[in-house]
Amino acid sequence: MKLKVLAVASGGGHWTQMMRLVPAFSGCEVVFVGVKAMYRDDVAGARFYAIPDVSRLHLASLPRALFALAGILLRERPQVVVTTGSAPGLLALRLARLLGMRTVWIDSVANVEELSLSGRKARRYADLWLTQWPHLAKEQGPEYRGSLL
Amino acid sequence: MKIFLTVGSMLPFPRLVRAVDAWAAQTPQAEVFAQIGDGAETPQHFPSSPMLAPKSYRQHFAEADLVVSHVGMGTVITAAELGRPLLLLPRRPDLGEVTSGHQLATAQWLRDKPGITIAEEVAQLLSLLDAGAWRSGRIDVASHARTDLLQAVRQFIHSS
Repeated sequence: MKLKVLAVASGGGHWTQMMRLVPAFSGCEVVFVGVKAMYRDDVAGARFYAIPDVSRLHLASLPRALFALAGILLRERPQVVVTTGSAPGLLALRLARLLGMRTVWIDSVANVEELSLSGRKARRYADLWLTQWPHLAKEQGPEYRGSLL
Repeated sequence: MKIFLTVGSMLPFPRLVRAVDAWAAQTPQAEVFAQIGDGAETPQHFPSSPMLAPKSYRQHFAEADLVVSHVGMGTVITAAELGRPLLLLPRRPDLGEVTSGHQLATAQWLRDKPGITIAEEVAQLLSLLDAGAWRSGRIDVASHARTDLLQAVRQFIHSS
């Protein structure tokens, strides 16, 4: 049976970076979660869910996003959940951990000087915890394994 | 000259849009189209749209002689993929344009790359536009590092 991967990314650069990660999912069934319905166009042929965006500026949508993500995880039952950030991806990893799924956090390449706030919190919920900058890697993590550029 | 002005998907960027709007009023030969974000005030001197679907976004991008934007990775990666030059103004957290200073840090990293010109301030952005003085060349931020990362993630997925 094919492994199922749930790929979660918020908008803009997070989504663009997820699109550059897609070749890593070859041989898997991939289901995408984005924060804008129009991103469906980018993943023609794959299942796609749009959820409400969450950020420090969109805190009110947190319960709805959490509920939506929980529903998607329970329905899809992926073996692996991968995110390129930001806050919605962190929520997805926290829920995935509770459900015993394996998790990957890839911090955005935009975070050159320090990990994002969500990226720092992701440490507790990511089995593979990555930065895209060698100078941000530490012995206790995050690891640097390459970049999406 | 065709200019595509885009502020990304998160937040409007009125400081940038107003500046280009004022410049366009003085520069009738410039043909500007703008993506300005949800709920932003509409510019007076060129057509705009709050959001663009990915296909339409890429089309405007590909047809532009210059893309004017914030220091967003969506913009930078798309420019590298499509080979368009960028003129960028970093969003500032002290003006409420973004929640962290990461655009200023990213601007430092991108500053000397071919195909990317960073303006510190609106006035500098406008004089660069007037002079046509942005850096040409193809943005090359790509490297073998992507192959490495794809391989690392693939390995992790199949390692259970």
